Amino acid sequence: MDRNDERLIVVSGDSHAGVPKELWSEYLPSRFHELLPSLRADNVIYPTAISLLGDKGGLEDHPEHAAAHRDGWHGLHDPVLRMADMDREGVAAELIYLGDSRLGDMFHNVTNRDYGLDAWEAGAKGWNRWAADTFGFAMERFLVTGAIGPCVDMDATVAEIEWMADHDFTGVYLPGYLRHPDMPPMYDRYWEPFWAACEQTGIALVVHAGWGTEQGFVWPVVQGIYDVCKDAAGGSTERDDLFAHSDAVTDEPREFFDNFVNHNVDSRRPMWQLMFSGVFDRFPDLGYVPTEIRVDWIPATLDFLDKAFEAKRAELPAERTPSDYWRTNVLAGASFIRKVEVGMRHEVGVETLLFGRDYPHPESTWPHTREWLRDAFEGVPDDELRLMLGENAIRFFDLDRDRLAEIARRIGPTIQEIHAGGPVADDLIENFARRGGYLKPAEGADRISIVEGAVREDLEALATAGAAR
Amino acid sequence: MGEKADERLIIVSGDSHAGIPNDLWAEYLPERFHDLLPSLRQDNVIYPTAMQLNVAKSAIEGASSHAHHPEHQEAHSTGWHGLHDPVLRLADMDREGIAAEIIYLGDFRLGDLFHNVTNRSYGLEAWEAGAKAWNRWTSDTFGFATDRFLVTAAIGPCVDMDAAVAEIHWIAEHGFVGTYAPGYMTHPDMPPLYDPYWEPFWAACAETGIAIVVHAGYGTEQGLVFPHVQEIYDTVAEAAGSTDREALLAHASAVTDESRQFFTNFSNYNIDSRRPMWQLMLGGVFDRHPTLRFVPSEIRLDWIPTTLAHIDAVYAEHRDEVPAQRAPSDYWSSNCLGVGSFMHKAEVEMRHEIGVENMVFGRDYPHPEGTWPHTTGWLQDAFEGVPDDELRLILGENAIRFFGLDRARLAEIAKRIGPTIDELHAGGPVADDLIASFALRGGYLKPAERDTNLEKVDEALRADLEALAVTGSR
Repeated sequence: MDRNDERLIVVSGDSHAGVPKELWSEYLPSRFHELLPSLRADNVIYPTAISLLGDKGGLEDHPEHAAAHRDGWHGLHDPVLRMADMDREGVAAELIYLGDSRLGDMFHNVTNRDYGLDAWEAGAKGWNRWAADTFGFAMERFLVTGAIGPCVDMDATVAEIEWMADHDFTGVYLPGYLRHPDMPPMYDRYWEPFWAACEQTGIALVVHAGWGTEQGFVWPVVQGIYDVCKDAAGGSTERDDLFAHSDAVTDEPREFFDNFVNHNVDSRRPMWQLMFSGVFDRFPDLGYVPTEIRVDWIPATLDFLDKAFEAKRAELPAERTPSDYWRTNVLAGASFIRKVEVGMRHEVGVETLLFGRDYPHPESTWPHTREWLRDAFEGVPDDELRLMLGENAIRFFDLDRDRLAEIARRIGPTIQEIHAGGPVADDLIENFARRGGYLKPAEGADRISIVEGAVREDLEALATAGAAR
Repeated sequence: MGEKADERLIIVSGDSHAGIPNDLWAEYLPERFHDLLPSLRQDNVIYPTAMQLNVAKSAIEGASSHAHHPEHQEAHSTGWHGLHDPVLRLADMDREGIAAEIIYLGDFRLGDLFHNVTNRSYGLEAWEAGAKAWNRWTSDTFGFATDRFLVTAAIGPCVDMDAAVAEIHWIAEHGFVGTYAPGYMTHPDMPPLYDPYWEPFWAACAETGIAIVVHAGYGTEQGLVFPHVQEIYDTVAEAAGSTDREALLAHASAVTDESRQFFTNFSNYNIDSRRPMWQLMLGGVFDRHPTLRFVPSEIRLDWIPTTLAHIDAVYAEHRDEVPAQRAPSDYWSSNCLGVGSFMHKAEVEMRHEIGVENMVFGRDYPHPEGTWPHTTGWLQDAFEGVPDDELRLILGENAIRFFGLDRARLAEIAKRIGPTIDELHAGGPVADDLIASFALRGGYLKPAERDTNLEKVDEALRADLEALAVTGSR
């Protein structure tokens, strides 16, 4: 076979799925059903508010992108539709996470109003059951990760990890994605049975964008956007009336979401908390997957963490440097990978990177994944391409390579297509930039000072905990 | 098992629909048909819009009202995605107490791949490819639970009989229970069903246990309907000076009387879908293939007693000229199961004339005229006062016997989800506004047809008899 005819095995590190609202009552115990009318109302308010925010920003859309998102997103819950979208884009297997604004989530997401710990727990379990029912017939291609509850009852939490493993899940959201005031920090020994269960069953820990948000924290801002437009529209909640008054959205919610999405480092924090507290020494086979939180900050941060470790080495349980754990225990999901992130691949680690589509989110590569790959990986050598597009994930999650190779032979892009598919149209590149920040410069060391504050706080707490033992 | 009243009924519904999302069309069609897809997508906007304009015009004329029950409206705003999402569909079955259900093609919200009578004429090859695609998608989507999803196949133009027979074997291997009868959609060269041309087809179906389904719409020439659909759309678009949805609906009054008349006739006054029953009966098909099953579906049952009596009489006169060995009503008892889709009150009352062992209730999920999401209420009202043994037969046992379903498996599912006999008998009266909605959407309170169309039936029957006599004398 000509090298250029080789079909790449693409394993995408990022996609989302959601339970249709018609199924909520089916997957929740009846004592939570009385919350559903309110949850359904939230589920109108949330996507409307987010659209109103975007509307004021004046985003324009690419026609193919707009067409796909008009009704093509039903792959969120229809597995045959999802599989066809994977086939079309040449994706052999893909990690699946919770969360999409169009379907909402059952109390367990950071975008939900605060419905309390019991509802959150039940909702997370509901999501896991539905995901197993829906995707369970093809877990070699659907790499499902579980939703996580408040983990108040550690025995129940460990039982849930075992349930996921029995149902062939690949990973679980790390505790603390959604937080509550009594939740111990990640370096607390409270979590020991949890890490043990995950390591033993081969369930990877996923830290997705949004991690570290207090239950109900985001909601008041969402409600505020909706209400201010509703007031401006004379109390009407008709969609057209609301959008005619999207100018009423003030700068505060825009800043809030800009901060929330772009300037908070909460989702980076568990990485060094686990590293410094020696979790990867006690559980050397534990897998850690930061995803959709970019990778351009990684080199500068690891560099800083290594130095901080050297300075405090004697006081910390950790036996190795953070950059060492990074190589052995981490696979970073580079969702809708940016041009600069591909450029930084050697600094991040060519064996620690995984491309992700983020299907079917509006900011994702879908339905243009082939074009995205062609432009982003232009000039990248074949062996590196193979690693970042699939082989890293196959090794890290111990996937069935033969089975995936067989699927890739039918649907995978050829190396030739990626390397010589020709230039991608300018209007598409512009669209990539607008929807996914494709051309943004690297963050580099811009936020090291914020990281530094957080690291210092954690190191102090760890030293205290160490002394108290 | 507790007291009799606690017994969980096994409900097998004889009518529901499924469809391929537009985004999957290309995936299931060979590439040479992909250049038809932009046009098909366009048709798929025109068709549901035109149908809605037709309803809106009727509302203006006061002929009907499309003011719907709020729960019904809510269900149809987004809840119809069970059309293609099997987990959502299972939940909708569980909630309504349905252990198993027959699935057919066809829903205007998703459209079909060239093989439906509502499609524009795209020629025989596209039709053939579309029908095959539907069968593959259906198997991929519902194949994991064919104990509960009783899937029936789409039918192609059957120009190549070997290929048609091979497809019957394919669907049987994939757990299908039936196939649309040839001639659901017709083309000019298609032989009538009593022609010996179909012998290998009947033989394959009898051998594999695949039932023959005659669904509403049967007997329509490819592309016959679409020009009328297009006419409604174009007329209104011209009046509105726009194809914007809101603008179109605001000009629904532009729909012409001719257009409305066409669809009224098409839905209510044509008997094409009744004809295959006597063609097969009188043609002796059930004598040559005694295990062949025949399932008329969503074409009502209130005309059956009068029609069978009439065919019996005609058969008695002409028995020497036709191949049939037995009386039509005899084949009805032994080879047929009539689906009472969103069963009318009058049909329940006529059950002994129709045959308590030859009818099955159907939801028609998720069509707007169906019982969903109010199946329990519909059953409570429709079957009020019906004895338990008859209830069991019409709601499930007939289908279990007829299709040879796994009763033990379905009983296990019914123990979890089925309504109790007590719930159906003593669930209390159904609210008036709900009964009004049943009447509005599904003609629930219509009087029985009985002999209203008998003249038309007689005319078609005589024509078939003549043709059969000629064939018989060969």
